Amino acid sequence: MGENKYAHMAEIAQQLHGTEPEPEISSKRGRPPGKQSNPNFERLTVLVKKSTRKDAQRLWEDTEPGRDMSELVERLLVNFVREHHNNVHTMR
Amino acid sequence: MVICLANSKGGQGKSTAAIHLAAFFQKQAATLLVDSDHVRASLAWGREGKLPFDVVDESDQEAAMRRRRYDHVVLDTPGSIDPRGLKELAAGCNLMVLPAIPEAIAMDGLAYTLHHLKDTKADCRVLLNRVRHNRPKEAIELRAALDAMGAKVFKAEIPDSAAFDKAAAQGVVVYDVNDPRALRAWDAFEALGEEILYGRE
Repeated sequence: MGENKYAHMAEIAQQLHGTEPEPEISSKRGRPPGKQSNPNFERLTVLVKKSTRKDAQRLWEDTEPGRDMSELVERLLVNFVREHHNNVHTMR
Repeated sequence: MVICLANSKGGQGKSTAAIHLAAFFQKQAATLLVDSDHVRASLAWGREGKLPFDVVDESDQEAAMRRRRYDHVVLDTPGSIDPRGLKELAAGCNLMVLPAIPEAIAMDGLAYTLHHLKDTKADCRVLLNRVRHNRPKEAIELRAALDAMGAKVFKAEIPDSAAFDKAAAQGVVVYDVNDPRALRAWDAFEALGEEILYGRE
């Protein structure tokens, strides 16, 4: 960084223009920002059988206490995509 | 793009040019105007929050640019800028715009500024500002003098218009001023912006 404040202004402008903002670290008390405010997540609405959801939710809460159903669905979807890619590679 | 408005002589309309160039670039992509002039004219202009772009003090520039993406940055500088500051700004920006009012007294400050910029590789161009329609000879003579010095001068010229004073008083860009002269005033900045972006033969 230059000693002159104008050099600093120009440097900051050159370095940071066109760059995406850094994730904000909140100093506020309370719950940290969740998935709803994270732009990398989106809401997914699906229809499943009531009995399937009930059984899965009970099992998930027993095995992974404190984690929500979103994480189970995310894990299942990631595994599904990975398996699909593995199958494609195996067939080649 | 990083654009700097500078001139070692004050009162040449840097802040008016900075506000309107920022307004032009905001129409292309998110633009930040950084005011480092002691008078804080640009900040005062934007005090009521009616400008279509963000304006910050130089001490808030880095935080603002880390909070939000800006594709264009316009730097407004003080008239008392020293030669070293001029050179450092020139080295760090993509374009240095030197507003100059066509009048004999302005030439000394402009010549001083150009002298200190002559060894830099920066793209420095003079903007003929507040050109009076009833005295076109002054602009023609200044343009000729600058050409003779080898200085680059924008083809676009900004007219001397009361619409800019109204815009400053109302804290808006000139196109938001209810004045028949406002459109012509804004057209001049559009021509300038297009010359910066696309050049003009």
